[in-house]
Amino acid sequence: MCVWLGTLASWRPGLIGRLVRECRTTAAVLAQDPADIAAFARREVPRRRTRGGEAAASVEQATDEGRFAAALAAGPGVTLQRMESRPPGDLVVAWNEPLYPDQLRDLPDPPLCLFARGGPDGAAVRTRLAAIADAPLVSVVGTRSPSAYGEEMARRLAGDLARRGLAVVSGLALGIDAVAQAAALDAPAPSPAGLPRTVSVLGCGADVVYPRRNLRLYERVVRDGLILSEFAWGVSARAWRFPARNRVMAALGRAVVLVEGARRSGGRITVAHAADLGREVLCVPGEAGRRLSEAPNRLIAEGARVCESVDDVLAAIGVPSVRPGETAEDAPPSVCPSHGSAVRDVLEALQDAPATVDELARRCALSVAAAAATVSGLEIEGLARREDGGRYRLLRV
Amino acid sequence: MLARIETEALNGLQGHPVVVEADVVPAAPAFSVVGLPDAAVQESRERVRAAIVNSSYQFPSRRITVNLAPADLRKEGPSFDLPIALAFLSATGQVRDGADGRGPLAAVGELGLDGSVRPVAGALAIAQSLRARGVRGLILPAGNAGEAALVPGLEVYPARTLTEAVTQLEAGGGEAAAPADLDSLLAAALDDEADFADIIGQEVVKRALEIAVAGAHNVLMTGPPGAGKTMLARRLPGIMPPLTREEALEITRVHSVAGLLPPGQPLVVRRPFRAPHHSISSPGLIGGGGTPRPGEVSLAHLGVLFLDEFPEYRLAALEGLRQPLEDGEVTISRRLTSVTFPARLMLVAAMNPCPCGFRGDRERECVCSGHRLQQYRSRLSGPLLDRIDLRLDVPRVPPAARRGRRPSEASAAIRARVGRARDRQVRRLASTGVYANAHMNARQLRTSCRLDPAAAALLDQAYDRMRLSARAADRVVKVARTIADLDGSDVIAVQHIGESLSYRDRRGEPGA
Repeated sequence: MCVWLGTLASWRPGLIGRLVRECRTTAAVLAQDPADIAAFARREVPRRRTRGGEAAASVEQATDEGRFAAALAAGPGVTLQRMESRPPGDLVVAWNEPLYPDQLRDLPDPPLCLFARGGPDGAAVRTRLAAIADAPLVSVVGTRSPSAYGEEMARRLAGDLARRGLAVVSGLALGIDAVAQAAALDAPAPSPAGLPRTVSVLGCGADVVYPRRNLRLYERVVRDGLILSEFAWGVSARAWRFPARNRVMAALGRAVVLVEGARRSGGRITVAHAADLGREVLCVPGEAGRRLSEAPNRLIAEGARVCESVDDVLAAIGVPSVRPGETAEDAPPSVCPSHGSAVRDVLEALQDAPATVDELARRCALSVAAAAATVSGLEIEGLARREDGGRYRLLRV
Repeated sequence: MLARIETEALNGLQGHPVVVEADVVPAAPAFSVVGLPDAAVQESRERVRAAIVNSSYQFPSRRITVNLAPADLRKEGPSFDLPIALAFLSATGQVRDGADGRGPLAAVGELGLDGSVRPVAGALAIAQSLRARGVRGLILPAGNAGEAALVPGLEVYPARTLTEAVTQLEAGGGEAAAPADLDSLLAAALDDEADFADIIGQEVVKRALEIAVAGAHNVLMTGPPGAGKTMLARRLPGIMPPLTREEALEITRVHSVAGLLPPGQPLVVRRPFRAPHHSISSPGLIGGGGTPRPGEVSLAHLGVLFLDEFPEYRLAALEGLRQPLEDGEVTISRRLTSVTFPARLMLVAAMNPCPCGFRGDRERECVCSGHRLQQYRSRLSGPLLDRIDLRLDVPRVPPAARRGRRPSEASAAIRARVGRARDRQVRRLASTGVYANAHMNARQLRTSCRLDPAAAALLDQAYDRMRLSARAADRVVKVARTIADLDGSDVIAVQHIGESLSYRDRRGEPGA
């Protein structure tokens, strides 16, 4: 019943809320006769698409409506049966089952069921779901088109969180989400007791890869992490499902870190939900005057915590900052004696600010050929990275 | 009575011997041209008739048949007007063919209704082909005389009118044009006005362009609008090695066939710089058309083809670039013929970093979504990008940074270094049929690019860390070879690989 209702809600976002209002409690809703529920659900009007062409909208609408009608006709029994014929590794947890993550119950409108995927078989998904219930999770969110600075901060924070045994929650979107989740997966972390490295909360079915560009990342998350969605299998991405997904992300983590975002950014929705739920909100400060700094700097002004490194996050959620042994990557790039004077000068210049080869050549009194050779040597060693516009930025200082 | 005049038909750059035969018999009046003529040749009857009458010759009421032999070769264009008129006048006995035993004269030219002789396209190729098959001399429009005079050993008889042409024919060659002195023409070519000294800043870009020219590498420049990409590209021909006589003639041939030689300038003395707009069609860029004409890639032969807004070109045009970039020539096939034009060019492509143009700019922020950016970049196919060795970022230089700087190095100094590096390459690659590093194949790359141990270690490290493809690694070595050549070094050292890596192709790298 719970799963069936959850499935129906994939196309009628307000359905559960109205049912609960009608019957007072969620438990009472679940006790209703399926036929009454179906009759109630049929009266619900589908959500109108506000943007995009008429024709495209009507095609999408028709597919969505067809699937809704089929789900409605199937009823609770058949729906549950179908879930059992899913491939191993796909799992549905209902709101009234013990595996359902407790954090989500804080939401005024928790999803009635969660569709989960991750690991080779059902046992692995169960372990991972159970592990995230009490583990400290941190959501890292931000813009889909980050600057090099934003990417670097997301990569560092997520990598450091994973190295300290904390799972990173994000939405598997382009930009900050993808960078953070990839970094969490890359981190050489000993995951404690089956904790997934990272958790992706999707705005489409948990078996749908959206955007397609993240296919490889999606596959890695399935292998080493956990994919969650409140939307039924095969449900495609629609604009309104993303804000809904953001409330789940906010509820799941103990803290939300916003890396970069414009004024009207999806990240702000996540942050607003997190604040409502009493979760910690942290923002990575951005350079003043940049469009992508608007959301985080604004939130800091309104009282969000400043996040400059993983320690700020740990302090906010009250996890003791135990360093699991300093790794080479944590240390700032040391100027080792084997490096020539050119390398030393270039490193020093880069420590002040990112610079182009022209600027490095002028500052260090090198020929452009020598400056280019030196800085690309640093890049190959992993000490610097080239940004758009041909500037080189020092990493991990 | 029957008369014959030698002439030449062009198919692309290739000349084919054609004989114009005219026969006049007393029968019902008619004037017909046979022998696979196209529309322009058919119309030549009208021009010939008017030119003859207006030059005060007789046009008798007889049956006149003109045959263009061989009859299976397609004849195109107006260059048969003059030989047809001359053959007609001989056949009607109005001209005494001055066959004085020194061999026949050939003729080409278009006629005006008033009897004037107009220039035709491809005179240089025609003259070269006539000379190669042993024709003694050529009567041709005065406007083409300079081109034909570039061919040593061919007597060139210019004519402004049909009457002058008749005089030349009767005399068996009257007043010949003076043979041109190629070397003095080339030497007289002034240095290009666009000089690298004009560009303040952008030192890395200039350095990279020097490397590109030295090794004949293709280049892709990425930068916001107003960064000076066009300005930089326009100065590239000025740092390329000076044209040799053969190269100048090759370029002139193509430009002459395309009808692009400016009047009074018979020889192309500077390396071409072609910058077609991105709305150009695929035949316009690559070459083609019903009668195959050279495209921009061939007009840029031995020079620079600059494609600004690279991703905005039509996909068919961009993909069509692959063959000329690979083979140095373009083959266009038609039902009856196939034509080959040379296209050994240096491709300089330029693009914005993103559709709005300001990604990575210091002062302005990019407003493109990730999806739009992806779409913009994915217009360039992998195989096409694989043919471009150097990637450059061209940032905007703010006016404040330009003031008070010393003027930069002049093109002449850069050209001298490029010349020395080219000499080293020619010597090293002498036995391979390749003249520059960019054209080395995998085997030549292995045999002629020795890396010292530190350089090899850096390349291996880059290969692992940056997940370079094998192809990308080969390109890094080629460019490093050119850098070493500029440096006068036989072995590729670590700083050469290091610098080359900074111009590498970053597709597919982690975080790219």
